[in-house]
Amino acid sequence: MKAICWMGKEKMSVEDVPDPKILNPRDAIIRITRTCICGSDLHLYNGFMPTMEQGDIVGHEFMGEVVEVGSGVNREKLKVGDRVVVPFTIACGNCFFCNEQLWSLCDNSNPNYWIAEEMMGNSPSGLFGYTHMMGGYAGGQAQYARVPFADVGPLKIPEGLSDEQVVFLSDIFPTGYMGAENCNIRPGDTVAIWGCGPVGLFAIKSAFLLGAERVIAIDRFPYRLQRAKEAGAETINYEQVDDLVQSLKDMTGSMGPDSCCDAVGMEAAGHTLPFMIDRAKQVMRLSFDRPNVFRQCIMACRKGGTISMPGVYGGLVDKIPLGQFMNKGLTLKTGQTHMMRYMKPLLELIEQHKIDPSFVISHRVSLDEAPEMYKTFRDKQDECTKVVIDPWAESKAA
Amino acid sequence: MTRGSLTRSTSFSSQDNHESDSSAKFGALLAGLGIAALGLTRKSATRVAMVATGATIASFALRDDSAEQSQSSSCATSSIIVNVPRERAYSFWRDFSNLPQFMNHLKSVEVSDGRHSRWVAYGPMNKEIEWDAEITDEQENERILWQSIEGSDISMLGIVEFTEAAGKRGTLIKVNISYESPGGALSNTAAKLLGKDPSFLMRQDMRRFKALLEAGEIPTTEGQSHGPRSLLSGLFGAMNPDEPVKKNAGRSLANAHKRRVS
Ligand SMILES: NC(=O)c1ccc[n+]([C@@H]2O[C@H](COP(=O)([O-])OP(=O)(O)OC[C@H]3O[C@@H](n4cnc5c(N)ncnc54)[C@H](O)[C@@H]3O)[C@@H](O)[C@H]2O)c1
Ligand SMILES: [Zn+2]
Ligand SMILES: [Zn+2]
Repeated sequence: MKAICWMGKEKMSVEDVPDPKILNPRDAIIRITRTCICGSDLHLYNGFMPTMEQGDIVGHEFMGEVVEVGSGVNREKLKVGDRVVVPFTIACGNCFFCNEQLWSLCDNSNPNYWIAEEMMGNSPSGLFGYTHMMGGYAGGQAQYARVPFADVGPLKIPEGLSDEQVVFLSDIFPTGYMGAENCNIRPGDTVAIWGCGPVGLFAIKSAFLLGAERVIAIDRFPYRLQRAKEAGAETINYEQVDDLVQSLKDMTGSMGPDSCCDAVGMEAAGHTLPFMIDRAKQVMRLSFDRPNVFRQCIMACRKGGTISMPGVYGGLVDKIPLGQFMNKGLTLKTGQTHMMRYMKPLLELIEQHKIDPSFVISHRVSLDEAPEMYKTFRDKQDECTKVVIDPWAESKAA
Repeated sequence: MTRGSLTRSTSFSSQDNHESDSSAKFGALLAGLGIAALGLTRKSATRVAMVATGATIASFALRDDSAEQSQSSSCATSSIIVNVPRERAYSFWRDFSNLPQFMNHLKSVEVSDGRHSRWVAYGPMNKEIEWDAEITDEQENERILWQSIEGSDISMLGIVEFTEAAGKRGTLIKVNISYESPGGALSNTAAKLLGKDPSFLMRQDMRRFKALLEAGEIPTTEGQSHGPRSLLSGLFGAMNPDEPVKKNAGRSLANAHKRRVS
């Protein structure tokens, strides 16, 4: 089959690889019909995530048809022919964490538990196509994928919904939703969201669904800010204001937003001095992260407010205003998305026409065109918001 | 060391060697490549050799390495909470023939009668080590104590305890296994080349035990598809201290080319 492999920093390529096989009894094989490039994949592309190996198949946002199930899969939950969306977190369904609905923290799905344990004290769940520390599972930017614990994660999709309407249930829609839920929104609240990428855009929509009165969206790309506006947000182009924190206070009667959501993560852009230092450290591999958005969240948030962090970070960061965080009595909520908690309820919202997630799509390409799209998406060229791949499409380019 | 001293060492004292703090681990990681990530474990140096067998049993000798010593010993401890009733955890363990499913260094355990069993382990230099063991004490659903019989090439003493975990979270299992080689099965030099943190390996065994009982299977990516690997990737695999000794084919540096597809 064809698959997109990480071949090194800024090197993604389409490779011919063997079709995936069932390796464990609870595995299933999915014939992929749609798969996407995520902002998280850009961290791999840019080489900021440790423990990638040349040849790793990437991709974690995919859906398709079940073509094979292992002997240990509960057939009432999943059988050949089912059309499913696969969540990017892999979970066993039986451990303490799965029982607590903390699906992205499953104890039994990371074969390389020890690597993450060394780095973090304990390991989160395994993830598709996302470093060996997170399990080293082959990803879903391919024609087929092996899905472990297949009777836990994959969500069956009823007829009448197109792939494009449901494929984002694999990650960014639940992620944006959990990002908003973690904001601890009460009716009348004002929520500020950094980043108007797919995650930020879904967080904006979800914040309104959860009762926010105002959402303030922050980015620097006019076409993305435009999308945020269309979703109902007020917007700030952070490159056009002197002091973003002051702007946010000015917009909220000096109080600051009730909640601040960091939908940017480890590769935040910026131009301040601390940012330059972060950037230099990251280039020298002294640090993985540029936490300037998180810093701004702490400074801007109203006293006693909540910070939600769906943006991904890799490791240690410097110069976090911890005293400010403490004295302002803030709360921080974060984590990889607990996918299985949200997929079904959000599917229902789609069925009830309360939201059509396909609004984020800007590019539809074949696998052969996908490596090039990494660059387009990374550099936010061509008004790129979200790239969806049809792994069976013929390449348009001659 | 006498059997007496070995017995004394079975209390559940923490045997973990001092681990560097997390920032030092990060320091190792910051070199950027995956290799570096693997470099953050254990006390470095002999890791590649350790991988050659990577097993608890093969890892003794490293604790006391005075040249005069003609015997060597290792002691591994670990504890883990498994989300199953005590009876289930106990009975799975009590059938020793199940142990090789999650203890990577064991090739087989044949149970001959209620108390006796024959153990075969992967030793250094592709040598197999065999011994007989007997259960010397047991309390149903609480404790099993077993030990190699007098005169074996290897002295082994194992104790495992099962208690209710706090907060109804299942069963807390504590295990301690000591090995002692009276010079015969392993030469001291060979043993010295091998792994060095038996408790680390034991922790991996216990993780597999937990996955097996909770999820019904041990998570794996062995045998999955991938694109062309580099030589570096071969090293990545070869340096994995949790390398399953059973499946060392295809994982070593020498075999890196076999793992390529194009
Ligand atoms: N928690 C999870 O489970 C999860 C899941 C998916 C994605 N993510 C993470 O969410 C983040 C966003 O993902 P995405 O797909 O939307 O990516 P994206 O790259 O499309 O969007 C990021 C946006 O942030 C903006 N940005 C950069 N610096 C900024 C700054 N200083 N202030 C304000 N905005 C800034 C960029 O201009 C861009 O529009 C990533 O870190 C990704 O890894 C997390
Ligand atoms: Zn994603
Ligand atoms: Zn689990």
